[in-house]
Amino acid sequence: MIKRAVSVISLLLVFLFSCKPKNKKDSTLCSSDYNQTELLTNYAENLIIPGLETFEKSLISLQMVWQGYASNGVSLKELKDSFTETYLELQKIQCFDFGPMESQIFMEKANYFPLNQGALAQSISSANINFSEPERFDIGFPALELLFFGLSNSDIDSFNTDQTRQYIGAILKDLVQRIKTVNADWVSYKTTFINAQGTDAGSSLSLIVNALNKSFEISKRDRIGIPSGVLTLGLKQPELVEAPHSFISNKLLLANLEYSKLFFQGKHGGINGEGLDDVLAYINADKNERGLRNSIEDNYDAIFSKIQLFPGSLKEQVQSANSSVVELYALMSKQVVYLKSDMPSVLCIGITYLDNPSDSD
Amino acid sequence: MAVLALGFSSCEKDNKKEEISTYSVPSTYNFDNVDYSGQTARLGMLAEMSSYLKSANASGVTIDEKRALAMYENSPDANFTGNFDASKQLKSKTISTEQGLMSSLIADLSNLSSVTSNAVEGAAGRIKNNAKTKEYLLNDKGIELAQIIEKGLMGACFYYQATSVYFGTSKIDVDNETVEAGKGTKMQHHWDEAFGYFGVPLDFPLNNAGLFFWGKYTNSRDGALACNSKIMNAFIKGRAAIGAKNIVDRDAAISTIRSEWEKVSAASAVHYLNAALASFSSDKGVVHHSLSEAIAFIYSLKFNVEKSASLSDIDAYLNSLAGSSDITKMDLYKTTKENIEGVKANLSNQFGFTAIADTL
Repeated sequence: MIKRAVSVISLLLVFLFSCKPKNKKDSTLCSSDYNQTELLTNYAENLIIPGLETFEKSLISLQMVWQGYASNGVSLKELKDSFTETYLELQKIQCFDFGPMESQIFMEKANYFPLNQGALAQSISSANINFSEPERFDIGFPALELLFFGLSNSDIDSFNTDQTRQYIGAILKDLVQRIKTVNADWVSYKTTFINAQGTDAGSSLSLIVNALNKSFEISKRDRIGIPSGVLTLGLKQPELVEAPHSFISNKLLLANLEYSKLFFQGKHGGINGEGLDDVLAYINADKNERGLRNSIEDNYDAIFSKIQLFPGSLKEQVQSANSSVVELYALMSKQVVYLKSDMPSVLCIGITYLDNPSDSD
Repeated sequence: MAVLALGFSSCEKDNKKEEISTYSVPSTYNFDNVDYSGQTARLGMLAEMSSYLKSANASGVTIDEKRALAMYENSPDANFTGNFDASKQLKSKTISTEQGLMSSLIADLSNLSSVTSNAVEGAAGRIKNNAKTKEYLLNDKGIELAQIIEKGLMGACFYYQATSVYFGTSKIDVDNETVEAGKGTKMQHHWDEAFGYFGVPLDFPLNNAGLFFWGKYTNSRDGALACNSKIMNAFIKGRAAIGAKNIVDRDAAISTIRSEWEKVSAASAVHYLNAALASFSSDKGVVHHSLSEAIAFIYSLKFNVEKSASLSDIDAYLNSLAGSSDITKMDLYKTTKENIEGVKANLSNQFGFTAIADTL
């Protein structure tokens, strides 16, 4: 009986396929004639390399502003502004976390949060600037954010002590060194990247799709899921938002997700270059009535609208109107289905990163 | 097209009908490929840690903070008697929101264990029951931290892992085809791990020996709730249903376990509220000890994904009982008899225990 049912189903499928208009293209990438050269060239030359260079400039500028502050020429406000600007730029490069950036473990060094304040106080007093140690939660932008914006409630007296200044200087120096190496490596990596076509695990398309997803899932889990309590039976942890002291967590989140959409679209400086959206359009990827490409774009916009309705900081939003944050989480979960399940399956790409390696059961 | 779709769905229906098979449910948890050694190890770790922390109830015994915290994290300083694999620990399996609180309560208890005075309002110390057979170490607000830590971890670790993690979709809606020798399919294995946290032998309740934590409290409430067989039968039925790939029955068993286990925690809280009421004006040692137990069982109610008391209900109970829903701010010296009676009545009402509340 089961065998018969299967053969009936396959007969029906044959019927369904044959109903398709003849001019429609294949519905998966691996069975299509799509050429990836323009796509990968656009990502390398117009998005990733310029994006990383912009970030490097911004970071070096922050380092100079810090040095100016430390020698009394620059005001605290200017320092905070420069920090905020660079933190916003950092959000935009999170999608590039493969190849040279991954080799430099840049995101781990730049933005592991939540900050471990106790460890930070200890690292400052013991001048522990060995940043090659793995899994440090007392470095990068979260450490600078506390030191520049939030000292009144912490164990650290002031960031004007010599020890603290040295620690801040060391963080910036380490990050500048790493991003310079990333940019230098991209010079030769670019050709490798553009030539690594196809859909295998090592292909550049696979790297892009995986990096986009990894970045999006970090936002969903760490920026929204954990503080809002969605992942902990409704027990909220508002103090675990990204950037809890400077009240810029909403801005950072929006910058991160807006760039995620631009990256999906292959857009740069207002120009709509060849992107993942175009690949989905080329192969006519189905989803709902709107198709997969439009469904993804519509949902990005719904996510942005939701965040824009948060009047204060994300921390306050969790404290006083968490249901809207939980709704945002639901929209982001929907997006993960599109980006991590639907898109890879039509692009013939495997998701290769582990989003949350679990410990022993 | 419409005709095709109709034909399609009707043959799908036929298939489904055929898939539902009958299956036998054994009388004990006697299945192939059952392994929950990680859970057994954690029950053992909490048993040793609790016993170490409670040793400071006796005057003159101090707790080494480093060792106590190492026991929570299973790091080398723990000096456990049991042989526990280094990859297993209590802390990493405690719900993330409570790990910091538990560590700080363990540190607090260690610090106050060196006091030599009697417990009085505003000062930590020890207190005996009237019979002088029991002694308890209380903090400056009259809370027996050892109880909060032990029962709190029963909730925030074991109960949470079983009812919310292993029965959550990411752990239970997994492969049920590939059998790993000794562990079964992924779905079977996760089910067994949830069972491991219940702390009973495979032939419970026929066999009542070797009960740990929730197993012990379930057995203590059995007279009033008949919960032994309700929970055990659901664990057995669900495991058999997984073997027969019957997800509907599995999910029904999950709901039963979540709800009956929750009742055990709520009823245990009422039991200790009764004990506090019985001694309220006569035996302060018993009152502080019993209220600490009750608070921990109410606090534990938070950690069930399908709970019937909401987080705000639970916070309200804690608030009425101890002046705060935050354990670090609770003060049992301000608790009145009316406070206890009120929580007992509301909690019993919420869980349908009103008629049996006095017998719990």
